Amino acid sequence: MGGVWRQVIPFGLPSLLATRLGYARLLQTSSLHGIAEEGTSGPETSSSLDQEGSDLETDGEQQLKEEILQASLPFVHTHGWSQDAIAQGAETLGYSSMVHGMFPGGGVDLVNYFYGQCNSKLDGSLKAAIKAAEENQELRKGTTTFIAAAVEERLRMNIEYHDSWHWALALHASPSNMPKALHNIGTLMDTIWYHAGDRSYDFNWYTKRGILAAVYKSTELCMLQDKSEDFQDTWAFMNRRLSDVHSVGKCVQEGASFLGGAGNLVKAGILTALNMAGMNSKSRF
Amino acid sequence: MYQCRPLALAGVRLYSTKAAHTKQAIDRIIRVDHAGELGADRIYAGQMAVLGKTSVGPVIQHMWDQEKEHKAKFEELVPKYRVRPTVLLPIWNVAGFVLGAGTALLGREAAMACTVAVESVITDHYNSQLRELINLGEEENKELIEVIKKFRDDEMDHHDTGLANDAEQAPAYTALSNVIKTGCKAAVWLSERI
Repeated sequence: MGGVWRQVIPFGLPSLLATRLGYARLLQTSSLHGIAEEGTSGPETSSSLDQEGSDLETDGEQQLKEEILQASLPFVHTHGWSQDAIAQGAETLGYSSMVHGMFPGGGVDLVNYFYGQCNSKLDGSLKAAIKAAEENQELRKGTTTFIAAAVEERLRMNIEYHDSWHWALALHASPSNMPKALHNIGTLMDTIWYHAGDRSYDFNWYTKRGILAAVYKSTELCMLQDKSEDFQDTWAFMNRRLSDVHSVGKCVQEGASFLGGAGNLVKAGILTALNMAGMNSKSRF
Repeated sequence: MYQCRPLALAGVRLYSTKAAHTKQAIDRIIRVDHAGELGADRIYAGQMAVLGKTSVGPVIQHMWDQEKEHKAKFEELVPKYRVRPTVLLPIWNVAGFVLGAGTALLGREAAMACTVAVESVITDHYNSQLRELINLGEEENKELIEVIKKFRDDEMDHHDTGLANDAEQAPAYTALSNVIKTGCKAAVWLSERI
């Protein structure tokens, strides 16, 4: 057995080399069209060029993945958020349906892509709204109104897939998908708050986004089973939650000022007591 | 150094992987620097609370004022670069004050030793951030590079001031210095990630 192989390999190697060289020559000729010039250059010596080369590769791969996912979205109505939808989408672009192997997460990759796309759209729309408000003072909204409008706009983007959205949420709830899901909603909350004017740099950054995330999630769940005309019940629910947040915030503020007042009272009492005991003299030390 | 998450498939789509790498690196840099300046501000506050009325008070006050400037600058950069501040901010708030007041209670030399230890860790840290930023692109990150360069020079100044004020006479100087340096490095590691 070994003897046969020892005879084949000397034939095999030159032909292998020949195909490699032939391929390189093919790339060389096609470089006349300006394609794949990188393939003919020697090994990169600088590490930043390596990084750049692999970045370009990753970019190309990302672009391909996005094209496939974009083409798969129309199939969500019939196949849901699943690998089947991705396979169908790939076929419309002319790729083999086996390409769904590029998406090891399966349906959740499609959900994440759609989520990211909606977030980007919202980002653009809010930026445009801010710009319009700058030019025309009348369009300027209060913070709560702005946030309510932004949440409503973002949730309306899900209406197109309303029938299968419970599937998407279930995929997001699975523990292996949770980090990406949290990243998605985190980015969304940051977008809304930033454009609503939040420029905080301390722990308020977290409390604000946490509160809005709770409102958004509960509204999203409410929307899942809402059957009213144009989802009026959902928007009413959202407004009630936002006014709850408002009243809690006011309560906290009032509580803090109450505590401040009470603290001053106690301090005054202690100072009086120290004065009466003759201990309140700064020259003691 | 770079995490290789497919950022383009989560959150918001970025137009290229290099932009994603850069954004992540800048995110970390500003987050940890903001936390560091807050910590430094609180350390000097603690030292002033104990040593404010002594002869070394004006020296500490001068260094504290510069740290306040640094903190204000990073507070401006955090929303500008859309950076998430570290969730450990309340902890660094308290820990910084405790460290400053604690070393000041050991004496003015110990307070200076604390300053020297912290500033030497911070200087090294800023230098490695500068290297990273220049590697990512000197022109695109010019503003951040200029800011960190100036702050690094200020911190080196504080380090030298501490040494000039008898830091090395502090009790158990080497041990104290090593403990504080290790604590700082741990704080930096945590703030970069959380």
